[in-house]
Amino acid sequence: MALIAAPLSGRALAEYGAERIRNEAFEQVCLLWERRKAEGWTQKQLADEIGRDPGWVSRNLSAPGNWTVRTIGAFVQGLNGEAEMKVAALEDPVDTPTNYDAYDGYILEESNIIQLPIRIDVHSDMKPYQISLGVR
Amino acid sequence: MSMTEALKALQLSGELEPWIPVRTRQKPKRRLFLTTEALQDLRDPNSAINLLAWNNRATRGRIEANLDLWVLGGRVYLNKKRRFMCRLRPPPPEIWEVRVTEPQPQVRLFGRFLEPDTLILTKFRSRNELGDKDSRAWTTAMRDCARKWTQLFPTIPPFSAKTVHEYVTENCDDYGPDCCPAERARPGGIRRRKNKK
Repeated sequence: MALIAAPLSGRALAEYGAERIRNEAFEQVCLLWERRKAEGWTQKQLADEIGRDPGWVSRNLSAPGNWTVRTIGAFVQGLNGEAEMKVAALEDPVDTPTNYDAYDGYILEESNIIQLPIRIDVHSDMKPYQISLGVR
Repeated sequence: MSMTEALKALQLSGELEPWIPVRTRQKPKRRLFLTTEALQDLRDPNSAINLLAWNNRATRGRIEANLDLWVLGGRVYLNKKRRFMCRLRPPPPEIWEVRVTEPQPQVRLFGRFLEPDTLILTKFRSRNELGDKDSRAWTTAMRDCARKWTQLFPTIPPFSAKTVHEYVTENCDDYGPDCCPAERARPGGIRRRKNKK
């Protein structure tokens, strides 16, 4: 039986947020780097631009493992770019909605999931916070 | 039985669960299914993964961010130095690992591809527990993954291809799917213990 997931909270939620934003920054920087590479830029050129050694550039363009805000800033400027940041509320609609959903046809429809009715019994001898759950 | 029917039957029986990111407004671009065991590794505070890092270093948050990266179509980096995921050297064949390299101790998520962009993760393991790449623990972990697959999909072999772009069709670095030679497990599988005289 699958466990009911407690939502992420505390430090785990903070780490989740940090990882998501770092991955997004990495992806955006890589996109610009690929464009610059196609224009003939080299890692050496980029390294000179931001005062780093080519090894550092190569390492950091291969994975976002050690990225900080400084790394992001250095790459954005070194690649002659500009970062735009937008923080949206989860309940806001997306800017460019899409109909494609990779799970379409792969997961159970709501109608296939059997919802068991739950009976809630509250007895007079129970403490106020006690509720017994049973399946009808 | 088709792949999608098999997947639905396994969801109905509670053996597999789709990973659907909740903290996003984007729609899924790739598919990920977790076994009950893998879900327990992730969510149970008493699992080996979480006991080593629970709350203190928040491993669960990092793992979930990586799972979301996969499903939301984020960049899958595979290069000589670092890899989001890679195919482990057989036997058994077609076992993949997703690497969660931060925070320490690192975590490895074992699984196989059912088809392009569809990953089935069977078990999460702490990197420390696995030891060296040629260790018995690695071989056991890979065999456990293969065994679980056979149990879940007795008539469906794992997806197999030559280039990484056949496994991950979009937003993926152009590099081979296999781990770097230095990291590969020994072809013979189990390391033989040397007799000390």
